[in-house]
Amino acid sequence: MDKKYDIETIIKQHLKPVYSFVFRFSKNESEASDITQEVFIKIWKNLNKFDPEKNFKAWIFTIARNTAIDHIRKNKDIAFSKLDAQFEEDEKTFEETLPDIEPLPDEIFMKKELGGEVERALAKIRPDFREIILLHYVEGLTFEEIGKIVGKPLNTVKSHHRRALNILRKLIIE
Amino acid sequence: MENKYKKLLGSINLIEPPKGLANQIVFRIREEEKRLARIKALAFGGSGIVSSGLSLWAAIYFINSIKETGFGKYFSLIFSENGAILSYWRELSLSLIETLPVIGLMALLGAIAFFVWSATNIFKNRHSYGSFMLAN
Repeated sequence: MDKKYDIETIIKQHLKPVYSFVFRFSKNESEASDITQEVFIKIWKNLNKFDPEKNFKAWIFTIARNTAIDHIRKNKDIAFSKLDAQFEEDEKTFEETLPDIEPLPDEIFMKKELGGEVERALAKIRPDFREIILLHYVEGLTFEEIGKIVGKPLNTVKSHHRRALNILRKLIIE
Repeated sequence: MENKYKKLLGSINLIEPPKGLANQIVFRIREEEKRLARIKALAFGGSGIVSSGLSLWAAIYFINSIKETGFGKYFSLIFSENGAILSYWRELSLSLIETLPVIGLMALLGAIAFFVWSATNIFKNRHSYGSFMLAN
């Protein structure tokens, strides 16, 4: 398999989704460009290791997520593990009182610039919730695939998804 | 209910990457290719030179060992006196085994294997050397 020709097709097909995903992590154009470059170089280097029986898109987003986290951790000195621990603590108390997804009122769709409001609301939620929403609704990945990408059990992904939707709903309605 | 959320979140647009980013990535990949080609050229070229030197040294060592141990003399008997071989084949076999320069033989086979491995890799990566030469 000639890596060079394959990678150019992969770049064409996946540049925009990967860049969008990474940009929402870093919120900085130049940083997102650097991370995206690193992501595609890693994809190119590891193309031979990819298992064709697995979902290629999920594999790409796993690389994108890990690269983005490493990059941001290095540059901004954010202790992601500390954040994760804090989130897990929240999770423990939350699991037992897990709410259902609250319905969306029809009027919400009458709002002008709804897309912009959704974007703003999305920017306000926790990064680990945001990535689940993006991977599920924008990239069309299943919760199982997302679980593998973010390294969390299926039930945790589902509960984060429900919580994210309820938070987004509140932010958009308010 | 989730359909409404799908409709709502389906309005999230993908962010347009900066112009030229795709070209930058391809450029960086080509640079990386050149770097890897350079490393491979140095590594396999070096191992090719070392292994051919080693093979030569091992061949000389093996030939000297054959002379020193007398293995050559016993071996040549196989082709000379056919009648005597049939009578003394056991003794001759034992003498051949005893005088076989095992270390020299192993050194030679090892050096040849190393040379074949290096030559195979040089052949496999011949396209990389082309790009390496063009890059320099």
